[in-house]
Amino acid sequence: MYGYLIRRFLTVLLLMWVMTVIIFGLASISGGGVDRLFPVNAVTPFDIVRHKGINETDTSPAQQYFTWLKNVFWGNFGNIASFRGDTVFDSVSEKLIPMFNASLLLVGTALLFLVILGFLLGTFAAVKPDHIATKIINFFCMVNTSIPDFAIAIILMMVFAVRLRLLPSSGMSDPLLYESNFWQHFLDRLRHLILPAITLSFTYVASFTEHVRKTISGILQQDYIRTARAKGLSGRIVLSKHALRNGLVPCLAAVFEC
Amino acid sequence: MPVVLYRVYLYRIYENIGSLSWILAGMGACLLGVSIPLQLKYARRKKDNNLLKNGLISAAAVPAAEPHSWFRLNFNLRLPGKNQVASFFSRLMKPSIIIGLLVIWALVLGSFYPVFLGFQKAEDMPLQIGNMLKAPSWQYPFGTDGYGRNYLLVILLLGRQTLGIAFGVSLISTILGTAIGVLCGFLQGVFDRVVSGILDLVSSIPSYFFIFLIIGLTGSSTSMIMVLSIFGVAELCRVVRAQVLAIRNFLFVEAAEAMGNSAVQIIVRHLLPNLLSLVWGQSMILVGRTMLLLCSLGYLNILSFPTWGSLVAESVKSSQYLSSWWTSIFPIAMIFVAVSAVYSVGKGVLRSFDPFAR
Repeated sequence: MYGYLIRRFLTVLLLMWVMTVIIFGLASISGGGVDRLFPVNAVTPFDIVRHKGINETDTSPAQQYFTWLKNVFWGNFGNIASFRGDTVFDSVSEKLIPMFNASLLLVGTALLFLVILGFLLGTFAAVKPDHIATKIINFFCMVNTSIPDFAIAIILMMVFAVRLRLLPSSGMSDPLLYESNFWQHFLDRLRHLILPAITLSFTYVASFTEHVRKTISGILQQDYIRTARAKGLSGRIVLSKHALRNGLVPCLAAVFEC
Repeated sequence: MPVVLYRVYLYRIYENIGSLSWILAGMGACLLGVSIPLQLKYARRKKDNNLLKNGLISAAAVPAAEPHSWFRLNFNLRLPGKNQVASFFSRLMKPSIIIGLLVIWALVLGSFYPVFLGFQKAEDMPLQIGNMLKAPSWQYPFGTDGYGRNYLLVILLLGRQTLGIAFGVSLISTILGTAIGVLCGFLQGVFDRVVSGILDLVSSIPSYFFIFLIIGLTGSSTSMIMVLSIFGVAELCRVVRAQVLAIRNFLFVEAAEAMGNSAVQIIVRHLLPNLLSLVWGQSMILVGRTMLLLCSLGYLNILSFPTWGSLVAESVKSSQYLSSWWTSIFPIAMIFVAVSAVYSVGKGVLRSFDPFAR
């Protein structure tokens, strides 16, 4: 067990190292440095070096790579250059944090929605395969897998934001709600969160539902389920205590895949 | 200049390969449908005649030869152990598969319809400012776009690129993936470990990231198509390899080995026929996924050729979707129809030959 864990950990480390090499290589190939983008007289050699996020003494690519790796390890992702009369640098890390918070909120909400909906639909489809609602669920999954994700976003926006004018089509909060209490802000955030979260979770809800359905219906055919039924347990207890608990681990693995 | 010509040439091939592959596949299916029952029939008759000549069976056991029956198709052959062909076709007679195939045929034929009107590209269609953004009517079933063009024709025209490239990618990755997968599963050993290690590495790369990168570095869609094919090869190879490993353990393969058949004979006569439905189903699903990917990339406007996704992008970018719903809904509907038709064929084929598929 521990050997397996250690091996997996080392594999992940190796993979991450390979990724850093690839990313650094691509970044250095791709060009687009400040010397190309901005007027020549506004760019000093120091600016070029600073934009690349390396020391002036680094000459060889290997040295540059190690400097870059050290900076990344300490949370310094380099600088964004912008031209405002002169070349100005802003730290990427400082810009990244609010974006990261927003993404985390969005992805977390979408994941919650996805897990709840997927588990409910998948379990229902597994328990009652001939019910008419299961056929509706299957149809929904079919539709969901064959529509690209941007199309779902556009359709939702057209219906809820443009036609019905219920929800905002963009942004994270209403700028007009400047002076208001906590709950108004909270509801405003929630209103802005609904459409993107639904869109994000809809791209994966079909595959997750399918996965849950396969897992649960596989478990329901096992011998211990028949034994539990034969003991005289009710269908609900068999489902919740025997089937769902055993199905939880493979389904959670699928959540991380999403 | 030669490089550019070569790229254009390759791109044209990729564009046409889908339609060509369909025509070839249809012709191949017809030939297969005609030739296999006949071959089985005449092989049986030849064997019977030989046995008769050697005096091993009585003449009463041999059915009388039918004169000039080459044009007559008889699928109800009662040949012991060899009626797989008839059952193969009868299993495919499912509504989902037939409707899906019909829809795909209709889309493929429809995508050539504007060509008969003289429009090779969407830019060939005349600009009619007076017709701008007309709502769907009998004259313009899908309405008109911002340039006053018939939107139905535009969508059908772009279908040629989307469908053609998706089918081309799928064809290439099916052929390569099946070949590599069969070799991996059959040979095993070092070859298998090296090749499947490489393909595992390929399939663990996030596809969007890699495609952006390739387009950013090389700037051509041809190399992007190559990358798509490589991803498809990795996927097909994984599936085929698993199936070959499962089939290898059956007794009939061992019997064939014991009878002294060579590896090529075993692969061609025993492995490939058992892989046919799996490969077909998987390749159709791959077509659907490639189509979705192409439309997403077209939506992001990073391809050098237009797809249905780029129509949606145009409608969103110019805010036409706020006032004229048809500019974005009809391309989306077309993507949905095409992809779900392909998926229903693929899943139907997979399901009709795998009794354990739920």
